[in-house]
Amino acid sequence: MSLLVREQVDGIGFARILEAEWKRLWKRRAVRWMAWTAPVAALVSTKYLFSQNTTLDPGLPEYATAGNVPVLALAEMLITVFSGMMLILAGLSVTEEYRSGQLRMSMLRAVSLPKIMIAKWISCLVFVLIQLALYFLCTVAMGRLAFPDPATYPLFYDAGTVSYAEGLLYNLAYYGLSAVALGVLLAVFFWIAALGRSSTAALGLGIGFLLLSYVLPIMLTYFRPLLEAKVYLRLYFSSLLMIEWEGLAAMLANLHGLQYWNIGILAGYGLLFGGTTVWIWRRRDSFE
Amino acid sequence: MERTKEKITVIAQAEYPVAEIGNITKKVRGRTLLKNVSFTVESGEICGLLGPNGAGKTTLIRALTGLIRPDSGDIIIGGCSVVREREAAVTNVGAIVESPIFFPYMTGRENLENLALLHPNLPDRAARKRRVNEVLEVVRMDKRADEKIKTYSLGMKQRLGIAQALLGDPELLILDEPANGLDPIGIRELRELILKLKTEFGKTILVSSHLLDELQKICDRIVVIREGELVFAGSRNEMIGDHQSLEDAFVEMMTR
Repeated sequence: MSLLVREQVDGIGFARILEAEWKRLWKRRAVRWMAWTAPVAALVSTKYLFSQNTTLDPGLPEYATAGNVPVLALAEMLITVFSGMMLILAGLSVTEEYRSGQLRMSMLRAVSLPKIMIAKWISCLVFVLIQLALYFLCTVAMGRLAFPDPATYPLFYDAGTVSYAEGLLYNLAYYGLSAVALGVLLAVFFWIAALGRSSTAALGLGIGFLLLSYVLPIMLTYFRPLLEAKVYLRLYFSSLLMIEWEGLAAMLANLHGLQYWNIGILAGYGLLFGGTTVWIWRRRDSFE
Repeated sequence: MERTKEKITVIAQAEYPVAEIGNITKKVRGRTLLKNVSFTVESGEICGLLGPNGAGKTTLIRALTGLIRPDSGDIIIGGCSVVREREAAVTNVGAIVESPIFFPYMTGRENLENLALLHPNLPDRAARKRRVNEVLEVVRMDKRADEKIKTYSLGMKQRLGIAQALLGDPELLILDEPANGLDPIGIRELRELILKLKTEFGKTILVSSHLLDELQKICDRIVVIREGELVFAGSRNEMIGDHQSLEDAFVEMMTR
């Protein structure tokens, strides 16, 4: 017969799950290579902005100056480099670990799958946010060193002109919104990674999502004459990719009330994909 | 934030069931993989889990470790229900399910240190380091622990698999086909290790294998399942009965 007694045992704190996930992410060679992304992408963007300046009127908001280089450079790289980086991270961290059975090693411990997934999401996001911060510092430095520094320069969507110091605050706000958009996009990629049968399939589905998010708004432009400007813009910025590409500057200019609309769209994507991902992991037998 | 959970701790060494499997049934896509399976694993014994391919052994082990939920029935390990209190129950279990898989981009020691973070009874870095060294020594992997996993032989991976299962110092060890693919020397080393875990460390072990000679050498009790149903649960000697060996008894049971 058994003689048993109940005692209090400490559970695992979320910080330890996060530490385990972060250490595993950082141990991957591909991720270490990705750590060079920010400075390299900053150099490529700067070179591109230099060539663009030769064809642009200095009075245009697209003309690169010391103050707006961080925003112009990020607008170029946000939907390509940063989104691509997150797609790869989600594939490596979720699909590969799940499909190869490596995730089972964690699942055999006293932790739940949704908690592991949330820790993975935070780890990947932290990695990308560090890259974003590095990218900001690199582009600020390059802007100061290599581009003209007028007393004021114009912002996008007729949001006025700003001095370098005012522009810096604008840049920080732009990067803050980019971080939010990247976090939401990562939730979408985690949803895709949860469904993907292999890393390649997850990568393919992720690219498919990005292409669809690009193609649908482009198709919408053909119907522009039929729609009111406000309705058209709201439909156009229902695409996460278009919010990343043009919507962040439109939000900061509060064009046609897009500030609230785009925040609502981001929240909607985050809740829908984040919520269903947690729901999938909760319901699913861990290894069918 | 640290959470507190209740766990059942044994305060007497009398024989008692470490695991109680009660009437579990599991269906996947309309196919019944386990049907009303019930048995117990007693403290300090080595229990062999037998069955032909597709009998439901791995499904049963997945259910025991909380990787899948049974449709009905319950599994109690160390006094906690795997179905209702999975996180508390699995603190009493260490397992290799199917083949031992590791994070290939890490060394053996890094793998264990990473997994040790997920054990509530290893609260700080010093305790985790100490425990990792202990389990590496138990499985005699301390000399190769700082090499990458990809350089390990299958036998070394199996031993590291047992090391990761021992991290939380669980009462019950579940080993799914641990001798698969091993050469005769590897099989002997594994057998010695399993017996050492029982005799020196007092572990209760549930082991599934097709190597019936090996099971005959190490098991106290045998559980046999076929097509998801329990067909035998009893001592090794009861199973062998008048037969020459466990293999003969098993083959007759399966062809009857």
